[in-house]
Amino acid sequence: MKLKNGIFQSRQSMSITTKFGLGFGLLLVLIVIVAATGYLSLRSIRDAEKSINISTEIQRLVLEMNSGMEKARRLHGDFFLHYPEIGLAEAHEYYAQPSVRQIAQVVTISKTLKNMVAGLMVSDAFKKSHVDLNLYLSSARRFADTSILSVELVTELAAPEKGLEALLDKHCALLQAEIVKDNKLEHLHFEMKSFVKDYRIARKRFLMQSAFNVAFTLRKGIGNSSLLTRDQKNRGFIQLDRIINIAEKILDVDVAIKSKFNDFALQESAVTPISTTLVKLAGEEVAQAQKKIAKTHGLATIIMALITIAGLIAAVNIARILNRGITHRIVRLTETAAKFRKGNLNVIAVDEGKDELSELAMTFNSMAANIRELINNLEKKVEQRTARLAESEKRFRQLFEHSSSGVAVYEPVGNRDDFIFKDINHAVEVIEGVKREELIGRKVTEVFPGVVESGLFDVFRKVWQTGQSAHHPVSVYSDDRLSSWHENFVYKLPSGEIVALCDDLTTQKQAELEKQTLEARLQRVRKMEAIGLLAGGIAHDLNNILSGIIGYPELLLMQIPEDSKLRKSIKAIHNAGQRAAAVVADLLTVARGVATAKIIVSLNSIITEYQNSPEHQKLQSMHKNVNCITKLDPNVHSIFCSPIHLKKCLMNLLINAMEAIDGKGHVDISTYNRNLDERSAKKKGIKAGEYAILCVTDNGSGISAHDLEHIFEPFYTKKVMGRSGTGFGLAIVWNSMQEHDGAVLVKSSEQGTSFELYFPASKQEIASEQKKAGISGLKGNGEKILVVDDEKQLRDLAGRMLDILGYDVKCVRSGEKAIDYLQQNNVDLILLDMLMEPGINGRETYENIIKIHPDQKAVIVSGFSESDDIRKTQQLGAQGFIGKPYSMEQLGKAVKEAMSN
Amino acid sequence: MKTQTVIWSLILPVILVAMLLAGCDKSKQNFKCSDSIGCVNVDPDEPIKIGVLQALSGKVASLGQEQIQGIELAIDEWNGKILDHPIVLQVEDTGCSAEGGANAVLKMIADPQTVAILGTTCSDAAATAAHAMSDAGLTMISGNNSAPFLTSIGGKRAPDWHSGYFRTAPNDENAGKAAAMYAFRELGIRKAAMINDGDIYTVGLTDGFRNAFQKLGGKIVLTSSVNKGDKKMQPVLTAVINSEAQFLFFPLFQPEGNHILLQARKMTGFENIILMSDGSLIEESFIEAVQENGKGMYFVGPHYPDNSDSDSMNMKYETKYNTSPSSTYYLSAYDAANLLFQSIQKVALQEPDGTLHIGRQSLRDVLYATKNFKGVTGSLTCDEFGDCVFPVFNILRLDDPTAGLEGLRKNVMFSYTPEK
Repeated sequence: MKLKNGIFQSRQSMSITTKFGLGFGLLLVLIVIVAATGYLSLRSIRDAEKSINISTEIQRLVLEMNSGMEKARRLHGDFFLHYPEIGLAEAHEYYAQPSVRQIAQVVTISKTLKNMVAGLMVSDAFKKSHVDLNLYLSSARRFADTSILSVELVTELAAPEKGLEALLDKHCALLQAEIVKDNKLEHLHFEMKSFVKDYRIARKRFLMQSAFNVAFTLRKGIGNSSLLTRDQKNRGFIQLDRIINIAEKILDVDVAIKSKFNDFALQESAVTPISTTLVKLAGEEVAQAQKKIAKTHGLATIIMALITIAGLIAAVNIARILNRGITHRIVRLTETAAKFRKGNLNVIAVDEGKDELSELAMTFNSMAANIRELINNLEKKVEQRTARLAESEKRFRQLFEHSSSGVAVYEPVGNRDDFIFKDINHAVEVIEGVKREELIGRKVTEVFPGVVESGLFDVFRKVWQTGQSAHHPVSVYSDDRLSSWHENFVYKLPSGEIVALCDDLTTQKQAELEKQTLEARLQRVRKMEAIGLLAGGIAHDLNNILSGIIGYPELLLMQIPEDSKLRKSIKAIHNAGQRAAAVVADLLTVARGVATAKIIVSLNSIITEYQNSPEHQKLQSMHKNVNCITKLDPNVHSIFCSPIHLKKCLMNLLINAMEAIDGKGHVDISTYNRNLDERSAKKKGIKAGEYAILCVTDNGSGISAHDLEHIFEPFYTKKVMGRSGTGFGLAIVWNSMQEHDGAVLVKSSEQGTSFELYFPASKQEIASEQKKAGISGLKGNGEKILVVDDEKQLRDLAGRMLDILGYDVKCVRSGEKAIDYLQQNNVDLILLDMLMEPGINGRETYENIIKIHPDQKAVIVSGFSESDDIRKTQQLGAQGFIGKPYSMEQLGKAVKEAMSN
Repeated sequence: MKTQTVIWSLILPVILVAMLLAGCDKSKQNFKCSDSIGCVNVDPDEPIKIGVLQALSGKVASLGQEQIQGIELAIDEWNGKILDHPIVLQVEDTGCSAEGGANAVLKMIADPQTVAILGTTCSDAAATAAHAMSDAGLTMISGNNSAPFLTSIGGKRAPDWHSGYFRTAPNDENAGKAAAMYAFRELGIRKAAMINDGDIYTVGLTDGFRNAFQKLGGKIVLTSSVNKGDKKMQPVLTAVINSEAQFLFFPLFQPEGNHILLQARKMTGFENIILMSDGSLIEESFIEAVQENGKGMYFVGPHYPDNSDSDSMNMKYETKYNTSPSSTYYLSAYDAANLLFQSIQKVALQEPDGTLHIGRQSLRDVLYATKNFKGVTGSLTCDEFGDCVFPVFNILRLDDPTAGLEGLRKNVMFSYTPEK
C-alpha cells in the first residue's frame, strides 16, 4: 500500500514532459522489440529459404552429376561390350568418346558443387561434405584417366591388324605354314590355338599357360621333326617365340584391363555413397530449413502476440496515466476556460497537482482576476467610444449625404476595365437625375455611356493604377439621357476603392453660354441698329427727297396730256424715283424699325408667288444648270408677315444658293412645321411654340466657318460689290426674321448649305386679297384733312395730291401748329409726319391732339422713324400708316382706309 | 533536460545489447602458414585425423588387420592423443591392389584435415597411393610394404619412389638376394623357376632373386605369372616341370600361394622341386591352410628381433585382442605409427587455445631426419628414400606346421644381413 502511495505521489510530482517521455519511451521500447523480432524472423526465414534453394540446387546437381557418372560408366561398359561386334573405331565414336565427355561434365558439376558447398549459406553437415566432393571430383578424374587407359589397353589388345590378338593370329598362321608338313606338329599347333581361343573367351590365365605348355611341346616337336627342314624349324622357332611373347603381352594387358575394371568398381563404390549422402543431406537440409521457417514463424507469432498483449496493457496504462494526469485536468481546465469565455468571469480553475498544468491553472486564475477588473473598466470605455463613434459616423454620413458635391464610391471589376457603384450621396442623385437604387452595383460605363468620351473613365483608371489623386477639369458630359457640365476630383481609398467628388456646373455653364449668345446677339443688334440708324437717317432724307421725285412726276403725269412729249421723260423720272425708293426700302429693312405692313399669309403661297414672279424667272434663266426643287408641306402653318420682306428673303437666299453652285446642282425649297420646346427655342433665341419653317438648301461649296460668323452683317459679301449684290442680302434676311420674331438657322459644310427660316405660326385666318381700288375709287368727298409735315415740299405735295383726290386740305409745318389749329378747328383726318424738327414729333403731336379730339383719326407718314413711336401712336388711335415716298394711290388708299375705320 | 535523460536511459541499454552481440563475433586470429606445401590446422576441439590404408578384404585381410592393430596399440601408447588432440583413424580398404590403393587414397586426400597416412599393406596399393598422396602433400608410412620399387633399388631412387613415402618394413631388394644365396649356395640349386602375380611386390622379389641367382651362376629357367584370383595352377606348374627347374620361387600372397603349394604337392614331377615363398605367406593362416603340405617349404622374410620389447608388445596385443598375433608385421605398423605420432608432435605448432598447425613439409623433413628412433623392431633411421629399417632377412623352413607361426619364425635356416 505504501509502495502504491509512493508511486502515486511520485507520479503526481512528475512533470508532464517526464510523463510523456516515460509513456512514449515505453511504447518505443515495445516497438523496437517488435521491429527486432520481425527483423530477426525475416532474416531467419530468408536464410532458411536461401538454404532451401541452395540445397535444392545441390540436390539437383548431385543427381545430375550422379546421372552423368552413371551414364559415363554405362557408355564405358558398352564400349567393352560392343567393340568386338562393331569394331573399335565405331565403339570409340559411339561409346568411349561420349563416356569421356560425360565424365568431363561430371567433373565440371562436381567443381560447381564444391564451390557451392564452400559457400556460407550451407549447414555444417554440408560443409563437411566438401571432403566427399573432393573425393567425388578426384574419383571422376580418375574415372576419366582410367577410362582412357582401359580403352588404350583394349586398343592395344584388339586393334585390327596391329593389335596383340591380331598379331597372335597372324603368327599362329605363319607357324602353321611352317609346320604344315608334320601332322603331329599341326595337331599340337591346333591344340595350342584351341587353348588361346579358350583364353580369349574365358580370359583365364591358366588357359594361356596351357597354350604355353603346348607350345613347349610343340617347340620340342619342331626340333625333333624329321619332316621339317632346318629353315622351317628355325622359322618355326621364331614364330613360336613371337607367339609366346605376344601371348604374354596379351596376358599383361588383360591383367591391366581387369585392374581397370576393378578400378571402376572401386570408384563406383567410392562415389555412390557420396551422391547418396549428398542427396540425403540436401533433403535433410531442406527439411531442416522448412522446420526452421515453421519454428521461426511460430516463435515470432508467440513473441508478437506477447508483445501485442504487453503493448496493449502498456498503452491502456499509459492512456490511463495520461488521462488522469493530463487529459482529465486539461479538460477540466478547458471547461473552466469555456465558462469564462461564455461570460462567467467568476469561475476558478481547481488543480491540486504540482506540475505545469497546476501552474497553468494558477496562471489562469490570476489572469481571470485581472480580466474581470479590466472588463469592468473596459465596458465603460467601450460604451463611451461606441457613442462617439456613432456620433462621428453620423456626422460623416451627414457630411457625405449633405455635401453639395456629388460623392460616389467605385470598385474596380472585371479585369480592372470597369468600375461599379458602391455608394453615392444624395447630391449625385440630384446631379445625375438617378436614384441610388438604380446605381448601386451597376457598372459606370453601363449607366453613363458617355463617361469614356468625357475622359473621366481614364482618370478613374489612372488613379486606380497610380493611387495618386487627380483632377478632371470642367468638361461636358452627354449621352442620350443627359447633357451636363461636371468637374471631378478623383482619389483612391486604402481599400482600393475609387472616390469621385463631382460638382455640377451645368447651370453656370448654360448661363455663361446664354450670356455669350445674348451678348453676341445684342452686339449684333446694336451693330445692326447703328447701321440701321445710319441707314435710317439717310433713308429718311432720301425718302423725303424721293417723295418729291416720285410724287411730282405723278402729279405732272395727271396734268399733262397723254400725248405730251414730256410724259416719257416724266415717267422715266418717276420710275427712277421708284427704283431709288426700292433701294431705300431695302436700306430701311436693314435699318429695322421701318414700318412694315404685315398680314396673315400662307408661306407656300408666298413662295409660289415668288416662283412665278419675273425676278425668279430671270434668276432661273441666269442659272440654267441649277435645278430648283420645291417640297412644300400643304399643312404648313399660316404666318403673320410682311410678304414683301418674305419674298425678299426668299429671293436673296435663292440668289446666294444658286451662285454657290459651280456647275450643275440643285437647290431645294421646302416648308414644314416644327414645335420648339423651351430648350430648343432658347438655343435659337426665340420663344417656344409652333413654327412654320422655310428651308433653302443647296449642294454648293458651302460657307467657311469664318464667313459664317459674318454673313448676316450688312455690306459683308464675297461677291463683287455692286455687280451681283448690294451686301444687304442676308442682312435683310436676318433683319426680316428679327422683325418677324423668328430666327434664321444656317448649317454649312462642303456638301452644301442650308438656311432654315423660323416663322411663328399664326392661328388667324388668312386675309382675303384686296383688290386694287384705283385712283377713282380713292376719291374723297370734301372731307377735311390736316397735313402736318415739317418739309414744305412734302407738305405741299401731300396737299396737292389730297386736293386732287377731292379732299379739303389744310397744311401746317409743325406739330405745335397742328395743335393750335385743331384747338380751333375740327378735321376728319390728320396726315401726320412722325419725324419733325424742330418741335415735337408726330407721336407727341398726336398725344396732344387726342387730348383735344380724343377720337381724332390720323394716318401716320414716315420716311423713317422709331418704330416705337409709330407703334405707340397707332396704339393711341392713329389707325393708318403710309411710308415715304408714297404714290397718290398709296396715299388715297391709306386715307380711305383710315377714314373708313 | 529531463526528457533527454529519459530518452537516453531507454536507448542506451539497446545500444549496449547491440554492442555486446556484435562483440560475440570475435574474429579468429589468422595463422600464417609458412610451410612450402601447406599446413593442416587442427582447431582446439578437432581431432588429428590419420588415414589408414590397409588390405582389409580377401585372403590378405589378416595382414591389413594386423597393421591396424599395430597402429591401435601405438595409439594406446599415446593415450589416444597428440598434444591433447584425439587421434582419429580413417580406415580404408585397398583390396591389396594398385587400383584399390589409388581409389582408397583419394578418400584421404579429399579431406584436407588428413595429416598423414599409415599404410599400405600391399606394395602394389602403396605404389598408386604413394603417388597420389605425395602429390597432395601428405606423408605416408607403411609397416608392411617391402617392394624395392617404392623406395630404392641398388641404392638409387626406385621407379615408384615418391616424396613423403616412408616405411618401417624392410626393403625386399635383399630378400630375393637372400633367397638366391641360400638356394644357390646352401641348396645347390642351379636351375630355378619363378612365379609372381604381376604385383610390384612379387615382381620385386622375383627380380631380386633373378639378379642375385644369375649373378651367382644359376639359371632362371622359367619366369611366369599368375593372376590374383587364379585358382587353377596346374598349367603354370606344368610349365615349371617342363622347365626342369630344381627350385620354384613363388613370392605370392594368399590364396594364390596356397593354390600353388597345394596343387604342386599333387602333381607328378614336383616331388624334387624345392618350393620357396616370401614373407607374405609367413602367417598363421597360411600354415593352417596348408598344414602338412607346407612341410619342407622355404620362406624368405624379414628378421624380427626377439627381445623384451617385442615380447611386451605381444603381450599387449594378446591383452587387447585376446589372441596372439598371426604375424610379426604389426610391430612394423606399431613402429610406423609411433614414428609418425612423434614426428607430428615435433612439428606441430600449438597455439594457446590448443589449435595445432602442422606443416606438411616439416613433417616429411622430420621423418627424413629420423635417426636411431627406438622402435620395437629395432633402431630406426630413415634414409633419403624413405626406408627407415635396416633389412635383415631370414630363410625359414616349415618343418612342423603344428608349431605354427612361432615355430616357423624360429626355424631360421639362413640369415642375411646386407652390407651397410
